[in-house]
Amino acid sequence: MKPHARRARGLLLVLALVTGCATYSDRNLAARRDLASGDLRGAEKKLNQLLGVQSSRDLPASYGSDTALTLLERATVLQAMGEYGLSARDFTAAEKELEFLDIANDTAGEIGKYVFSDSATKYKTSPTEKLLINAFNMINYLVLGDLSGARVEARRFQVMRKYLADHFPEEPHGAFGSYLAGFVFEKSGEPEAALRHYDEVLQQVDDPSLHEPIRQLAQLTPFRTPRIEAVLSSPILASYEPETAASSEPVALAADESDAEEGEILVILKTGTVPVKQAQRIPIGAAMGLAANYVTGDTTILEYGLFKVVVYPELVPHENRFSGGGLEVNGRTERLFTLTDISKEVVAEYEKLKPKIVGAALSRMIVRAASAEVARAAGRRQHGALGFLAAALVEGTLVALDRPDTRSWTMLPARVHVARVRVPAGTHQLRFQLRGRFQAEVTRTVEVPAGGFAVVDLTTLR
Amino acid sequence: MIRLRLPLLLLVASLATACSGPKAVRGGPGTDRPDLDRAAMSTGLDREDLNYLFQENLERLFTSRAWQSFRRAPQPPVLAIWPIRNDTTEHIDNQLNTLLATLETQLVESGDVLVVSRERQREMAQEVGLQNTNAVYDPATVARLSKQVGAQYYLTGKIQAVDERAHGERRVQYTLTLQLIEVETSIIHFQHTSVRTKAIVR
Repeated sequence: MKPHARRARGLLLVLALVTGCATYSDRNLAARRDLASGDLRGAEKKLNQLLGVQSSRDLPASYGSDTALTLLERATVLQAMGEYGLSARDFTAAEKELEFLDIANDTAGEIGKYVFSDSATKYKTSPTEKLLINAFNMINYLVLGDLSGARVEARRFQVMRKYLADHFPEEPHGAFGSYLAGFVFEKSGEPEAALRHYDEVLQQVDDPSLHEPIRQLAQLTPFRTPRIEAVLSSPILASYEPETAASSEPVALAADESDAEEGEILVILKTGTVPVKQAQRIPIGAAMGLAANYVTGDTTILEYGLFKVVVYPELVPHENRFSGGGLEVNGRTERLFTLTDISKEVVAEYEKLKPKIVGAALSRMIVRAASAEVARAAGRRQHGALGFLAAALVEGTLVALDRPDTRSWTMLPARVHVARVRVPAGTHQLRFQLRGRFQAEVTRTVEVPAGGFAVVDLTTLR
Repeated sequence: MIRLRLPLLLLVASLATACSGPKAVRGGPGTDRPDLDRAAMSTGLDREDLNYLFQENLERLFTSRAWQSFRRAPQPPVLAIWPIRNDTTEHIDNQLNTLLATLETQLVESGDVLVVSRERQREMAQEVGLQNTNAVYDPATVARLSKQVGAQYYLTGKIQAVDERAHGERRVQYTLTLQLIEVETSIIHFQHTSVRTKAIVR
């Protein structure tokens, strides 16, 4: 074959490899753009295409490297759309697959990460993601009124939290999950379990909406911690009951009759989405080579440095439209408390891992350089000019094959806000005033049974 | 030779991909994969596990002294079957209800007891707002409701799990406890626990 034909083939091969090597965040970019414009159905459709299914009623027939993660994204979108049953099914299916990935041996992947591609490893959920899967699924069951299902998720959350506390004790996690688990056990008539979970919340944040439930539960169980004692001895704040005067008198238990005519609304507002990893390719060699050529006119450094590229995933903040909001129930203002800043937890986790990520990227660059020199030497032995071409082809191909690992739960909401409101049994109107870079209003109607509760969830995903 | 290798490799790879896709299969008794149900697919409780846990308990129940006395009684006693409480980390409520329906059929067909309709019990629990709360498993509540439907005994139980993770493995130890309780006195006439462990190991 003629030399120019050989070079053309080589270039075509490199091109084909480059176009086939989109990262995870590249592949779901179209769906995320739909979310940013408020098109949940469009995002759902694109996720279904990525999963290889016709509709959200279907689960994938087989699981590839990113399928479980894409299923998690779909579960989140379905929850935002109010499809709580389908969302619950997707969360459960994704969790099962992610568990297998978590436990699987991945020696080959770990080696591959340092040799040829950042995406060589099997995906393992971060501690933040692990806990939020069960927390978000608890919302599904609570909204559906399935307390039994919510208890299962609360127990799964408990198991995972204990595992993370044992293995990552310096990273307190899961205030939101603990809050919901406490609520589930409180409504299930298990006061000690409820109080234990509320104490976990207090370890991370002091949410005033918990003070009254803690006082009520403390009368049913002797379980105490310093944080619970602090709540019990604190004065009752007007901020939880805006139209009630502040009082330092202990609250009497409501009479059974009035309890039976009342109910409770748990309001959950989730705004924005977390930062997403995007591929960064920093051509440090080309920069040095161009500079050297400019100074000396010698292209040697450029020839050697052309494909010296550091390839790694960088976490990029998302410009969310909404960061919080206000709440009115039947025209009365209620306080929405920002319980968890998930974005902050995601960034903190990433910053801890970044040295290792960049280290692996540098290792891969060195491996590519070594491979290129071998090809250069072999090429030169055949014909002087072939040395450069051989090295360029080998190193260029390896750069193209090196896909930064941009896998993460990209559609995870950025912040969670909660409110608890006691109301008479019956129908109630809720009005959310969403705030941030933009403003919007959303209204919901909810039916509260006598002596029971209802959960209202609003997820903006932008 | 080098020119042939890459296209051949691509051809083999594409053929391998085309031939190795998932496919539906039929399994169980009477099929060519009778052992399909035996393999564990997760740490959850599948039909095989739940059947085992229930059958183990029922075999003990039917050979227990209490049940022998039912068989000798001049009139079959009236028995209510209450929900099995799920204290595990698995969503198995539907499977538990299916098993209880099977149990109801077995007990009715045995003729040893008269069985109160579970549907009627469900309606009663709903009427007093107990559906979905733990109160439906509370002994005092269950005894009161059982009395209202005319039952002399009730069958209930719970399924629990101890779920642990360590060294990259996960193990879940399930126990199903079944109890036969006299409504009037709350005396436990029969109690047995069956166990099963599932795990994901490296």
